[in-house]
Amino acid sequence: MDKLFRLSRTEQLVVQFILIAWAIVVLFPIGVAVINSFKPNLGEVYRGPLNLPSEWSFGNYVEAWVGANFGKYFLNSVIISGCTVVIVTLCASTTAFVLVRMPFRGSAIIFGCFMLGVIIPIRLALAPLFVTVNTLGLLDTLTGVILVQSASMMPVAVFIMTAFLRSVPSELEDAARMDGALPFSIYWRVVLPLIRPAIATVALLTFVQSWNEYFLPLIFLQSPENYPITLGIAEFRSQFAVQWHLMFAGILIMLIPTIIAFVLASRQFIEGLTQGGVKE
Amino acid sequence: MSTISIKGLNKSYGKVQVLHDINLEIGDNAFVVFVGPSGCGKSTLLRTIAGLEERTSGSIHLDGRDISDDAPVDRDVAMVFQSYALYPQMTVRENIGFALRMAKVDKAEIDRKVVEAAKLLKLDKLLDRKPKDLSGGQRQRVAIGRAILRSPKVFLFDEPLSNLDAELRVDMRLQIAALRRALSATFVYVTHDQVEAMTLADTIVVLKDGFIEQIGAPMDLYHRPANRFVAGFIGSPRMNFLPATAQGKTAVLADGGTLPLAHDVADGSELALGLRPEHLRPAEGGAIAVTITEIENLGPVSYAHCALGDGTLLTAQLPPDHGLKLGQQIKLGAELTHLHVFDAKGTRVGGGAAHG
Amino acid sequence: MTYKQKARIQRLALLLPGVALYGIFNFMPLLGLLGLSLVRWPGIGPSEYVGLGNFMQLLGEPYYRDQFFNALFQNVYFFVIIIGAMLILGTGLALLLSFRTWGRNTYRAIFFIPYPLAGAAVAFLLNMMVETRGPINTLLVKGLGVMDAPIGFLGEPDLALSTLAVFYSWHRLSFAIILIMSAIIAVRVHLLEAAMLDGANRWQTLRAVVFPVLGPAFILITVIVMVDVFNNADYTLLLMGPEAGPLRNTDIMGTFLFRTSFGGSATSVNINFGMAAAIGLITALLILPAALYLSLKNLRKD
Repeated sequence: MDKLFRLSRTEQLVVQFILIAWAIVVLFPIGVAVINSFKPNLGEVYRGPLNLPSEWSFGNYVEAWVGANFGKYFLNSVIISGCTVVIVTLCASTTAFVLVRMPFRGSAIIFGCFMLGVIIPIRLALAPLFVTVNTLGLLDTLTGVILVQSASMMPVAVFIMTAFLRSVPSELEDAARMDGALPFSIYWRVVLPLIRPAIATVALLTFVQSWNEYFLPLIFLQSPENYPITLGIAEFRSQFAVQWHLMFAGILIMLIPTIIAFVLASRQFIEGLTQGGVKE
Repeated sequence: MSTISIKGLNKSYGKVQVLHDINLEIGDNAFVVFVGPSGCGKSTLLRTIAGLEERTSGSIHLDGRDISDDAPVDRDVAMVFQSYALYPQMTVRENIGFALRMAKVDKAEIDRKVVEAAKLLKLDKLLDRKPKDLSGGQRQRVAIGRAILRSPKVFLFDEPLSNLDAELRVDMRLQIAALRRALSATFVYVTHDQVEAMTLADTIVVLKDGFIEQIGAPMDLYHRPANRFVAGFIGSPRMNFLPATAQGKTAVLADGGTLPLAHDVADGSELALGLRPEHLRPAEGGAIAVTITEIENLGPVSYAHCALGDGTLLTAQLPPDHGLKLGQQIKLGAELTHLHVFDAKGTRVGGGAAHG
Repeated sequence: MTYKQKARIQRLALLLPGVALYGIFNFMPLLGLLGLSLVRWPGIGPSEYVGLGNFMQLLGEPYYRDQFFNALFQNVYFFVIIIGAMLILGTGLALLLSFRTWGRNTYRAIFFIPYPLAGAAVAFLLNMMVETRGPINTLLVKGLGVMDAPIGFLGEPDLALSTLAVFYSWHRLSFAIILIMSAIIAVRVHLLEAAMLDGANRWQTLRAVVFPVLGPAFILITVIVMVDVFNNADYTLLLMGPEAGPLRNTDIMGTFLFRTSFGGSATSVNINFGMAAAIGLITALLILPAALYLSLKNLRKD
């Protein structure tokens, strides 16, 4: 087995070469962004986009945050993503709990409807969805975006939760039933602590998806003060397109939370990916 | 009063029927054990009594009251699970008192009862620990404590000792027997281990494939099994079955040896003669000719595993100083008072001569 | 109230939020596609029932038909480039990472960095990279002196779509790498050992034992990318606008749908939500078979 996967010295060098090449491709844009975001003025960026800054100044970040309103956009993103994560984790877990542990006639159909949502993306129904949101008077509100984003994440979340719950034995819940606990209590005291890993996965996936969401806010928000950071940066670009040093700073501000989330929970991330898609 | 009356109980999962026409009367404060091989429906029956499973038809009455449609908590029963099912994030104290918390009983009252139960089960020093810090036996006792606190009329045990190692199992068995004397309630106990059944039960219910095979006191089942299945299930080592043909009042073995029967059986009918190992002895003039294939010396007793001429395997009990060797050909004599006769369908039709 | 009655009510209460949320804001609109595609409606004001009129217009009227097929074919081209990159490059890198390569965990971590980044960020970031005055062109022209003049990656009609495809691949390649890697790792050891004992060298072993196993992973990647690429057009919308310039050369189904719902810059007069619904429906029908195949395949394995 080892002989198959061990590499001779020359092979190793070739492989390293290839991998380093791709690593450069990956890191290049980010590296350039980092370097140039610290440059004090635009001229430096133009003169030598690949050179290190003459002095490392945080001015661009401050400018972006305050002057270009990134602080507000960031806050909106936090609110939207935070609320979406909470709503999705709660709703998906309660729904999964009922569908798996308290089935009734028709629960299979409901589950099927959710699975349909896994396959068919919400964007196809853009027009009817817009009509719905508008009719409810939720256009251009953070609430509207939160609800739509939550709804778009529900199918995958329900899928992950039901799959996980099915693999957990129900003995503890039986004991709680014997003890007279009603469904609310069983859910809150017994089930929720048991499905912590699934909740972590769903929370992480939902957060990243929500934070990165551009399209839905684009459709459902109109006033700039409601923009999350993804829309904010598009707005930013229309104003500051040429100001690359500021653009880079703005982009990095947007990227930091997801990079942090990734660093903290990289294994969860990858598990969530393979769990959500593959059951090999 | 905690009598249980089950009438005509059937249970199906979709098209698969797992319990067939169960009729059972359990007396006040009785200790009843459901026993049988895997998949016989004993756990399903227990869970149906508990209310964790819905019956398909039939009724269950507790103390005269129809509980067939009641939720578990309304049935006045408590259950002890195989893997204890303790709430992992709660302390022992909180685990035991959980049911009363759900019933919104006064906190001081809960505390008092918890301490009382803990003392009975020798858990009083462990009240503030969490389940993960307890040994298997301690966890089991916490599970029992939790059941006790509900002051139920019936305690249901679902193979509670299966997850314990052999030594601990013996220990806990004795504790459960002692518990039974301390509490006034009916115990319904499920196990696949017939030793537990024989030692703990007042009444044993033997199940197979969702049917009740026989109900009776342990010794009744031992001496008068209703059919071949029960005969082979109860008693360790297993009862031996020798194929024979009936000829008037005699049973003829394959190799020609004969054993007398207590009454007439239709001539030529196929029989199985049941003899427990302890009722077979090496004897000079014995009717059963065998070759010894294996000898097991256990100390106080020894067993000879033998083969008949036609290949049928037998086990015979030997005294410790038997002096027999492998490969030896000997004759076994049967204690006729303990000979059981089974017909081709497996039903017990009688005994040997001098037997009732 | 008995326990059972209370339990039934609580069960409903636990189920309702999720179902209502999903139903109102996701599932019902999906069903509404059917109804909406049968009317003509500019978004405000009255709607007019046209039966299959929208579909006929879409496929019949040159104005729409040309856009539709243009978007469709370009979408296919877009898809082919991306899937080619992901499967070929993805498998190659996945293989290299599954050997006993030095620092493979570090490489794996680095390669994964683009995945969690926001599409918007990636779009703008990579856009600045390929600008005529950007680092790549600087490198090519000044640094390495390979070219005389900078390349307008996104400006050239012929290059724009391909460039966007490269953007997508840069962003999502790690997804393919990880899926393929997990398939490779799942290959049972004794199969590999048996092949080794039979005297196969590395390449032969790979071909006989490992590659067949990659089938499911490839299918999964293909379907997921297909669904994504035919529905979403974030990069295009962000960078090239709803008109999908230059000259609609970057128009794909996602931008086309957006345009009919909300108009491009100069075509706001042609907003027809019914048409948008019709397009959505047709796109769904196109990708539905593949997507259903995948989910059924996975469900059956349970």
